[in-house]
Amino acid sequence: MQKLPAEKILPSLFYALLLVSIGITGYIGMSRRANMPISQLAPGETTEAASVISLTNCEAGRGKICILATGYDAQGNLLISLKTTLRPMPPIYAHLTDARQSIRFDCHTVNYSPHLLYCLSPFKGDSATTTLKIYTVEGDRLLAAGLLVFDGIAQIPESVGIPEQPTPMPVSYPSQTATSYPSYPSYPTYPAYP
Amino acid sequence: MPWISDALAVLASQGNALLRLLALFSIGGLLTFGLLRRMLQERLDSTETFLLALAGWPLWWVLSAFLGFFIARHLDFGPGWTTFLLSISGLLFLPGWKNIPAPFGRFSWLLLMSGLLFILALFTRLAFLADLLVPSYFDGAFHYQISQHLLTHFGQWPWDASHPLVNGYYHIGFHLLTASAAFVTNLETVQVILILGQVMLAVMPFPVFLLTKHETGSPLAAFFAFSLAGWGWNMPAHALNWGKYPALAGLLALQFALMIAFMAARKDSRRIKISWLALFLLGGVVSGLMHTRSLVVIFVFIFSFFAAGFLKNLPGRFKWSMVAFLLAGLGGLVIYIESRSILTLVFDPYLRAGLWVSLLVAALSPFAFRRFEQLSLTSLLALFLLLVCLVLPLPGESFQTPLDRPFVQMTLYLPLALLGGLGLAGQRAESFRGWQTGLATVAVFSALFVSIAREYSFAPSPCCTLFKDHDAVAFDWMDKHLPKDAHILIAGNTLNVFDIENPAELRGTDAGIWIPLLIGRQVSMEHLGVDFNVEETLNHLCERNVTHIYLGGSPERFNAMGLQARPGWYARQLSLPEAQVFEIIGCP
Repeated sequence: MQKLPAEKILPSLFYALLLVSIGITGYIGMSRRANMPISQLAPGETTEAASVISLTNCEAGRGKICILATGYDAQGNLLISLKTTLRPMPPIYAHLTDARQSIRFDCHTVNYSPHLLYCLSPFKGDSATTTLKIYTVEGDRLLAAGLLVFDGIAQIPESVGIPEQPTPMPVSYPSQTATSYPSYPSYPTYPAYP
Repeated sequence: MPWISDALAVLASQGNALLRLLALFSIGGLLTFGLLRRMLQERLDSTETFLLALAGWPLWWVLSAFLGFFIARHLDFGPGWTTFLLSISGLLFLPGWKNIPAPFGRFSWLLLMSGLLFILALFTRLAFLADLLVPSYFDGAFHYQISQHLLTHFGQWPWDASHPLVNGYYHIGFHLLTASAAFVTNLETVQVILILGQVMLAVMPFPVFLLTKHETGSPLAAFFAFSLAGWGWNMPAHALNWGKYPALAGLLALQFALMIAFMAARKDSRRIKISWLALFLLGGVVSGLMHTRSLVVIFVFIFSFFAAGFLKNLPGRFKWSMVAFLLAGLGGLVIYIESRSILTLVFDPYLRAGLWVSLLVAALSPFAFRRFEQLSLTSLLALFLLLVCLVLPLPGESFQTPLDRPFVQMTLYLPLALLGGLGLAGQRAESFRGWQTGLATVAVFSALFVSIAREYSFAPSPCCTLFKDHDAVAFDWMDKHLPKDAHILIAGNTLNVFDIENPAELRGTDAGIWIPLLIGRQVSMEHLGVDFNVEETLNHLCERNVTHIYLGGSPERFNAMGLQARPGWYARQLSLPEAQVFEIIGCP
């Protein structure tokens, strides 16, 4: 049998190793993720954070968990949306406390992004500032805490019974042009990043 | 440089998906590499073959996906697996390539550098995915919809032709690629489209590197052309902000075909000539499957190449008169296009945002014309003809032209990058002293890199990201709180691409277009200028059984004031900073 020259063995080995290493890495990664039952992990292992995370507004700087926005639905529920970089994110619930009350909020991960969550519960607090605390469902461990400032973003809809008169939107949108807007526009704020 | 942390974050969160798609990419590239070695023998060295294979990686996947669909219909074997096995079996079809001197048998630093450049290019592209939940703009939703349809209807060959999604659609090659990739890698279609787009973008400048190196023999000039093609202007990368994934895939495949065509223009044996031709046709077919307008671009470049060959052989005076005539024509076209409100956007990346880089290329181009006449003339002619394709009406069509404005906008970088690379090589070949040439080269590279560092954006453009965080939250809320038979009104605007407006066609303008795709509720589109404050609108909506109205956070959306002014007709169900849902309560 003719012996293969080294120059042919080398590339064959290279490609074989490349494919095998990609396959092994992918397999290990997938099986680790698939075999990781979140509920069975110890509290310290569920997230990267061991201490209580300080909640901030996402616009002020993105921490491990930040408050994206607040809003209301027609049933009078306050909706608090959160953004997180924790992977995996354990199931959580929240407590919102002001001078008069403390209300539990159920929180869900958003289907279309594992980085987004929102918490929903009836809340009609009138104080400008409340305290938001986030706990893990498993073990009731305090995960994050911070002040929730109502800066006018949360607006109670008309059907809840609060303003009957049309109210201007508190959020300022950029001006729109109905017909002259070209499709496929260029960078509007080029070259700003982000 | 925040893009580095963004890219690292994407690597951490989507590394697994990226690896799986890179495995797909490697298999496609390896098979193309083998095919090129087998057919072209040693016509190309290992580095050139590697670079060409990078551009040609989707060939096998697209063709085998086609065959997979066909075979699956008759064998009931599962088209996804058929596709996968066919691609793998490509290895067996190429027994001859192991008899050809191996790529690493002649190890070159250039080959190693090309590999490293690919990794670096891919890393820069990952930052784009940091905050993107779904493909951008209304095109992105459309491509997701078709890919998902094909994925869930594997086994239908020919695919359900009556389905309005697929019927007569002209990017089917791209959607077959994404559908088969999603099947083989078991990833979500959205994720496949997003990551494949960035992989294609990372590969995009390599054909320019190859051709410049092949033509000039200068690795420095090739690297300059590579940098220009990748990051010199915001095109073709900005096309992903428009969701132009098939166009980008077509651009990659057409470059494969063009590189083959340009490098084939030399004396070869009959067998090798047939191989070149077969490879060119293969590249042409795949680019046509990816995006039919790619064929126009291939024609433009091939025609320009032959015309340049003709011009080159003219006597000096005639030749330069023709070049002057061409430049005057180009100038006239630029002036005309600049005067058209829609078409003028075509020059935004080149004459406004990337003006300094364009001027740098213009300054280098005389050297290109002196030393590399045919390819420089080809680039100039292609530039001219691409713009002609933008304004030339198609016979029998009221507003269509051979190429639309976005496609021309994202293609113009190609002749410009080639001119830049050839220009630098030409400048270095002039009889300057060594230190002068070196100094000029450093200055040229510095100018380019300063421009990239100052102006290049690696993040998605706010112009075109329709589906944002607030929309994702609102969608989840709608999915849990709105009835399954809810009928939601979403905003649209006129498709404004051609010089003549086509008022009949509406395009989605905010995240509402993702409602049927993500939460399965029926939607109807209405022009965003509709006045909700008048009774006629309410009656119209009631007649159509519309139950809800969605307002996203993009600059183009319904005017909320009209809805708020009529609380007896429209009740707000959800209010978030950039997403609102209204229920229509005023119907009789």
